[in-house]
Amino acid sequence: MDLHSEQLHTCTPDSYRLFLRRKRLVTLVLLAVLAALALLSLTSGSAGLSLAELADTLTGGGTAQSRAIVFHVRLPRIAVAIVVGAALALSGCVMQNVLRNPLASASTLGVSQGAAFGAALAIIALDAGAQNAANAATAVTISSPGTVTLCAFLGGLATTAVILGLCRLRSASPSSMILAGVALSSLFSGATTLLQYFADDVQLSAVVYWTFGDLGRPGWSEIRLMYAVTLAAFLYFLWNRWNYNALSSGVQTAKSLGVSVDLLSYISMGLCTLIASVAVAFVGIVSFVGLIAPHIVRRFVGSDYRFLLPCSALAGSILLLLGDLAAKAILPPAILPIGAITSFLGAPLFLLLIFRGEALR
Amino acid sequence: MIEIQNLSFSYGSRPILQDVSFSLEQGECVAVLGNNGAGKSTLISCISRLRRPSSGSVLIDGTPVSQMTRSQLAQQVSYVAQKNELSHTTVFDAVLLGRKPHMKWGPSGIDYDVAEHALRAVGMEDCRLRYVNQLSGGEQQKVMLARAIAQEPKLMLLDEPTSSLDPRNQYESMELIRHCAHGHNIAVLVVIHDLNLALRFCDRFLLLKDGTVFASGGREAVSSENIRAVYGMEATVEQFDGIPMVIPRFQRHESS
Repeated sequence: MDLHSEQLHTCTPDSYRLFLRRKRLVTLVLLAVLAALALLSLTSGSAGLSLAELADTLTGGGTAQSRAIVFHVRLPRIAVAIVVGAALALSGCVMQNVLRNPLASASTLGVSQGAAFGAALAIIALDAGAQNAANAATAVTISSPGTVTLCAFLGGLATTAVILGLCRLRSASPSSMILAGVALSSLFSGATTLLQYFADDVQLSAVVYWTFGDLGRPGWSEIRLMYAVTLAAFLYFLWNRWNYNALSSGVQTAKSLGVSVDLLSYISMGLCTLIASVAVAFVGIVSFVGLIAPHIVRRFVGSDYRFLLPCSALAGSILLLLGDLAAKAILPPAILPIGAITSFLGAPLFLLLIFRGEALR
Repeated sequence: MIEIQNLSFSYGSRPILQDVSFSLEQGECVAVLGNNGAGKSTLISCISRLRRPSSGSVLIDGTPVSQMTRSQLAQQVSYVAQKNELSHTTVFDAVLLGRKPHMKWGPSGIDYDVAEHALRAVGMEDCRLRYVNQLSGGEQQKVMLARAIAQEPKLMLLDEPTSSLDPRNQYESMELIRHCAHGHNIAVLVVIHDLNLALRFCDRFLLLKDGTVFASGGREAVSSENIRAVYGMEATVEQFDGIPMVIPRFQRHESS
């Protein structure tokens, strides 16, 4: 390997190496921004901990109260924002490649809504959630995360199956794919509303939270599950980064370059659905992050999936952390629902994409 | 040596290719000629396994293509489609993609070297960091050729590589394609409509008619009689600077 990299230095021109270095720099900058935002989030909140108290708590000291705030409120919230942002952005990034559709993402195709319906079904019909009702904010603990996740995944998968079937049988254009997504979204939203009609109060509050998106809900065990699933998917995506690059040049070209296009597409779509569904199962619907994060980083790193994948994940995390900071800052001490914030952020950008005509070529 | 044996393909009950057999050597540039719908592109896609032939086989140095994995096949056969989807990637990355079948986790130093040489072979080294979707048609064609060269195949399949190019780029591209065959010792199979380009740059000719091989051979295969039979067109073939030229004798429909 060392020998190879030496040869790289002798033959590959400086300009290309510089070009690669610039993209690596973009990745590092995003990482730094993410770290800075995470720190900022740690210091912001209604409890008013000073920096000294915070440092003390993080290094093992601090009062019981400050430890509770840091380890049970703020840190989990940051961890959730990072993993959910990354999961949604990765699924959007890969869906856009595999479906050859720049408007694809979990929320625009209806996968999120399908997953939310699955989660709601688990909570209301299968009695998998909504146990303690001490106060409105903590009312919603999931008693059986596994069931909720599984049902969310199945709901998301149902949507993905319809979209894939549409691609296969009708070779759907990007716009009709999105229209199908709109139809599926309203179908699942309608079904979720119907479920709410039959729910009791506690269940209802649980389901309503879903439609908001709430980063404060998952506990550490759910967070670990989200990280494990998202990381595994990320590694698979990264392993296939050259296959995605080949697929950007067209299906035939990709096949002639040795890519098993069908297999890659099915596994990729399955994993995209899985990570988006898990995010929805624990946090609720967070729209548009998955759509816009890849588009933002494309401006800086182009369509090269070597860089696009990690940068999209970082950008997704950054967007959600920013959204969360905004949610806390707008009407303190209330924390506005993150789903509403990202929609306000994302919808104008979505429209911009359409106006610029980049989206539906 | 590449052998195509009794290859047949049909869409449902409609036969497209019937019992096509021929062979080509490495270092040889073979033109596939014939009318629209004669099965030229289908032949190319059956050889590259983009389509599965209903019967017959393709052998590369004695090994049937059907027994190779897609990745193994891609190490032996490169394919340039008639139309390419162009993403927002640089010329160098587009060429480096040709090393994909040879990569494990990512490109090695050798992969970078081969890509760089392929880029120089088509004379595009000054455009290394330009984006492929911002290039002219002729430049894009050269990048696609460079990718196919970087794949270091035994067989290169080209589907109408000159159809959207201006005359000068047609000649430059065909010159490059001939150089791939002769200079890089690759067997090249090129689907082409322009008979004069084919006669000038290719070594052998395969004339398809209704999915079967009507004639094959050297320049003598492109004769007035064969052109009439394959294309349904009157033409004379005359020598110009030692190269045969096809001059169509188009009969105007007189309305009386």
